[in-house]
Amino acid sequence: MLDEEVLIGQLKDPQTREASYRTLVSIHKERLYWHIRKIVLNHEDTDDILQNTFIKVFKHINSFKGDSKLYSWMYRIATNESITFLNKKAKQMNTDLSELQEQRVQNLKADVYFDGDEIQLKLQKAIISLPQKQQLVFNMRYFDEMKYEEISDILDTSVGALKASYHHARKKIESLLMIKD
Amino acid sequence: MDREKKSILSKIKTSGTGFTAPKGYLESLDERLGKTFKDLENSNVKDLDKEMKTQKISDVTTLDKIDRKHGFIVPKGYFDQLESKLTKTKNPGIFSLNDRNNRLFYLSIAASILLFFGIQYMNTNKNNNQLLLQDQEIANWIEADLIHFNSNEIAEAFSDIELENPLYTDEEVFDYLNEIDIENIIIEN
Repeated sequence: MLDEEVLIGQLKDPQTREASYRTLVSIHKERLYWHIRKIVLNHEDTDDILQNTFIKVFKHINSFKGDSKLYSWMYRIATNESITFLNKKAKQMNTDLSELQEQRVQNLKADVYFDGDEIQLKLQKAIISLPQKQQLVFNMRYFDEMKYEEISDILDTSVGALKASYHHARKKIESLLMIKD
Repeated sequence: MDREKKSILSKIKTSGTGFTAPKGYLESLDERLGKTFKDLENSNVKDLDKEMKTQKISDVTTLDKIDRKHGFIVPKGYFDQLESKLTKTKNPGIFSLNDRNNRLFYLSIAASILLFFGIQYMNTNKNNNQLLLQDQEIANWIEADLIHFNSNEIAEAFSDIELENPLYTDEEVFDYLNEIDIENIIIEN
């Protein structure tokens, strides 16, 4: 696998940036897609946000100082883009974020790109009942099985706080899943 | 009296406060406090780790059943297309990759054109409807046998109307009728 520092150097060099950009997209497209998808829930919006994320990465690569790993930086951009998108949508629809997310989960029933069963749908409903940050932590830890250190790098939160956040999220989700419809 | 009081208080002071502490308490205090601070620092994390480990048993009934699957899927070949879409131009940072917005833009133009022609079509249809209505009215009129008027009935109906500049005067018509051979008229018809 290509060394991250080398890749960053190539991305910053006008001579090699195009080829390295292809490499960057190839390496990170799927992980970023699924990260965004779990936040905004539908495919079309995910597609838009993913493309915007890559554009921002490309445009701002020169401002990347290397304080964190490149993928953490990209994850941060993707997370920000996703949350900004949801906030904008909520504003457009004159509603709040939780109500918007509720509508989006309801739409999953008819979504051709969602083939989850009842329990998976119930899990999504439970996730959106959490505070925004807990949702992110839960998704990254439970579905993506990311290390706390990685999540800490992305969300700029201490490992201890993340553990507490995940623990509370998991407990709440467990209790919501136990409730029969 | 004052001297007596003083001596009692000084006696108490020299004999101590009366309170005692466990043997070696103060000596070990620093060490214990240091450990406590460390424990406090890690307590949340440790407790949570412990709780999360013990929780594993109950997980089997709920979250682990889901097997970390979210149920989301992507259109077939999406990731292959995405890569070419994102890298097809020389400078992906400048052009807009927001295809959905572009699609919406072109769709809105197409919708406007359709709307324009749609309105035209509706107007044409409206005229046709008016013509059809007229045809229908004529058909009804014929069906009601209103067309079978003879010239005398029509003349009676419009007796109050004076014909302006008639082609023939009454005298000319009578002269004509007197001159022609009726037989010939019958044969010609």
